[in-house]
Amino acid sequence: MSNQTLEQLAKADYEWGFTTDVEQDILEPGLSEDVIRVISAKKSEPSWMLDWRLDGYRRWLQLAEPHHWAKLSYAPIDYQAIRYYAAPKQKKQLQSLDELDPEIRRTYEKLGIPLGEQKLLANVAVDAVFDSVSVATTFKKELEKHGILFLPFSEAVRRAPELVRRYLGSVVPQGDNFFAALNSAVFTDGSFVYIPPGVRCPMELSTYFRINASETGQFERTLIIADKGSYVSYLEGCTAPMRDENQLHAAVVELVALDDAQIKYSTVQNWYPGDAEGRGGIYNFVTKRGKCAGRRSKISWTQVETGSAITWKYPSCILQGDDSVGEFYSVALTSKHQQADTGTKMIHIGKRTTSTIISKGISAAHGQNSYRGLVRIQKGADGARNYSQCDSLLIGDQCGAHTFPYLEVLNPTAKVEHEATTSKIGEDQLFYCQQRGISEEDAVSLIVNGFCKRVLKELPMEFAVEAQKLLGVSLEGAVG
Amino acid sequence: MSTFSPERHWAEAFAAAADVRAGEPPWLEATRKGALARFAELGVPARKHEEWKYTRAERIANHPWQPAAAASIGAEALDELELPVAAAPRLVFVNGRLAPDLSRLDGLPPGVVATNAGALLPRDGAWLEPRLDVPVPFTDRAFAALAVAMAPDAAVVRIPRDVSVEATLWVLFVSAPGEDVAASPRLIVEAEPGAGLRLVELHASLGASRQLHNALTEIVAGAAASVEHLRLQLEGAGTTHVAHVHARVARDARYASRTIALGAELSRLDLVVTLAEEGAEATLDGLYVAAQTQHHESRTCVDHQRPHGTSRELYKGVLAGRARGVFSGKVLVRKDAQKSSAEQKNENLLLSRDAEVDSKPQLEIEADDVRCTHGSTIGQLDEDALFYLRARGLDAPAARALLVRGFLGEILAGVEDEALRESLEARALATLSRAGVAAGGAP
Repeated sequence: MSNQTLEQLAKADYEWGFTTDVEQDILEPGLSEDVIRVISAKKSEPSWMLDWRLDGYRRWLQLAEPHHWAKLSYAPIDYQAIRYYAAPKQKKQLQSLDELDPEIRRTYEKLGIPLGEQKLLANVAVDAVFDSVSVATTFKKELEKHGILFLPFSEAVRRAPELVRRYLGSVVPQGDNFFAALNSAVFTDGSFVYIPPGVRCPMELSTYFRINASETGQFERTLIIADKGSYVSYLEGCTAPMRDENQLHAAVVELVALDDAQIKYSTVQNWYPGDAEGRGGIYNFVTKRGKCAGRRSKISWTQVETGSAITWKYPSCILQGDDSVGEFYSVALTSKHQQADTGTKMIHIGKRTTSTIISKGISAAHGQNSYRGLVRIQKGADGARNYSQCDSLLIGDQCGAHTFPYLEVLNPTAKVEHEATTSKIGEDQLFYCQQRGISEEDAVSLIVNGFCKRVLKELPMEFAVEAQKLLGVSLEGAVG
Repeated sequence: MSTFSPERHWAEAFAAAADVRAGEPPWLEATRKGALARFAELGVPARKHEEWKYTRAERIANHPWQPAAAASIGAEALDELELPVAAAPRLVFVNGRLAPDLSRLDGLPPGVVATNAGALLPRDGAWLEPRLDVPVPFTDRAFAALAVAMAPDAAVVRIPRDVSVEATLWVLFVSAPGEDVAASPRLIVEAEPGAGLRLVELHASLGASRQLHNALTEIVAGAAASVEHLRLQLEGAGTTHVAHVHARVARDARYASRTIALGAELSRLDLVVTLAEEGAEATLDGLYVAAQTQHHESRTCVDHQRPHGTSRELYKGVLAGRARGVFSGKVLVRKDAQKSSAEQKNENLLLSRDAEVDSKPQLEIEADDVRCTHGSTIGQLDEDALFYLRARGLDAPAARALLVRGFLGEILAGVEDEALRESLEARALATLSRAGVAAGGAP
């Protein structure tokens, strides 16, 4: 990009402002150092933040897109055809829910999303009873009372620069992988959470987040730090279908748990999976990693992945502190022409570290579902223990289920167990249900929910209920 | 060394060995040249190659190996192997070439072919031609292509329709001492429909010279045929053993593979079993025992191509010293292969602080009406079991040895010949006791 265009862009920014109505507040497609400078400038970031981004960009240039190992096939992504900055668009406001696409309305109802929330999700003008601003303010006050920081990333860079500088990239460095490097260079949004020592976060950060869930951004970055002895439960995403115009999503999530701290991170992802012929849909390339830096710390990932055309995601735990614990509970459902390559990495470094992996993959229609996971026991991890169970369920003869676990053990006192099964949905179970008057579709939904029970029970309660319904909704049309 | 190019090196070695191939038909020369070109094209797999994640291919290829020349050994040399090798029937190959004076074929039913490809070429060239090319599943494996180009000869076993061979047939590939020598032992087995064969394929070296053995085996079990294949890798301490084994199992046929790897400094087995027709059945059992700086990689792939196929697999490893054991097992169920059933298990015993195990079981399932499972465990000897034995008066080494024997036993028990089974167990335990574990040996 020439200096002249840069000036124009800078001017455009100046002219249109940054948060106003912003059809014009977007950059031309393409990625270069100048684009990153503009993004950083728009966010009024300090110079260290810009340098950090540029470092990420330079590393990204050196990296190749990982194509050789994941069991995914998709058209090449043109990174120069993406716009890397667009201020949040103002969605068209509807006057009432009746104006909403009846299909989406039906889905909301099936999921049992309360009316007030339906309005928020659909961007209907909110009434006084369910005023998001006031609700948010109440939550904020409550959190502040405990000294908890829960901020948009750009605000955190200003308000808590020491914490951000210290921990940003400490778990997922800029050059970690192709998509993480891209995210490091251009991330524009995300959340920052800091829980002070000894504090138990009084609410699921999910609730607040859900209300603010609009346009979380294509290159999201989340950093959660749980200081000594603290606890936090964080829920990302929601069960409602998310239609999003950005096809590529490359998010990064970093978690740090210090001594005796616990982080529970739950995800429900239901982005647009593409249509029944496999056209469109989100490409979701996410790097999520937690570091159990402290002794007796614990990080638990729970995910329900039902959306996106492509899912490439391996929430991982680095078990560094002695006696630390890592958990991964996952349900991944691929239907239509969806492809998911997902799993986890458990890196045992500290002594007596333990990890548990429960992964349930469901493939229907033309879906392709792969579990890919690594359990590595380092030399010093005396008495480490891992148990993994990866089950796959096949519905229909056009889908595929694949399991690629890697177990690497360098310590004889460790104990590692992995087991996996793949089978179709039981004819006898279906028959039993149908014989008792349950329709085939409902029976499949029932059986699938039973199959996923061990994972779903890890979700915060209200989401577990919705997630169950979501599985049923996602399987519609895949049976019979 | 930095400028050493394995591709160029082997092209030169191939050209220099023209006299070895003198008298071969033109099609065979074309097959060999094609394979050599394939090797050059594929190149030595780089570290990032997923299939070579745990074994460095350069460690095998970046060395100026010289093709093994013909050598003759005396019958007494076979005694050095300290194995109860059957007196007959057996085929003995030395440095990849048939040693007629050591081979005995008495006891084989009429019509059974057990010989070398060289002897068959004049009369059965048309039958051999497709079988001497790179086996289909290995067209992307550089070392298999190299073996096709360089193997001076091949052992050929052919069992006619509905003939069952009563005796166990041994095929021995022995290499004579010689530094920096590369041998390419090759075996082609075909059991025609309804035939039955029990086969022992043995790889061993005389002495501990630094050698490369690049082996290639192709087995066909025709419809309703039964092939039992015991493969013993008992190479010398200086050997790098690379092996490609393919078995194609036809309708209602049964293939039982048992691979035992105790020798070599570095060994890598790539075993592919294709269940090519309906109702095919395969069992894969494997044992790898390594100590000191040994490195064993066992790769297996069971390819369920057609419906009603059954496979069961159990690979077990014991690692001591600074050894490294790698298991990578793939079960593939293709779209057409409904009603397939596949079971796979990998169990590893890690007996020392410096040993390492990497296990990578994989399921790739494209059909829905299937039942597939895999499991993998890595651990040390069970404390409770040790306590139980010690409470009954066994000292620690004896208790450990007993448990290790039990662990090995699951695979060794399938070796029917008792003398052979005991000899293999003694070898495995000796390897481990040299590494200071499981001392005490067999009572």
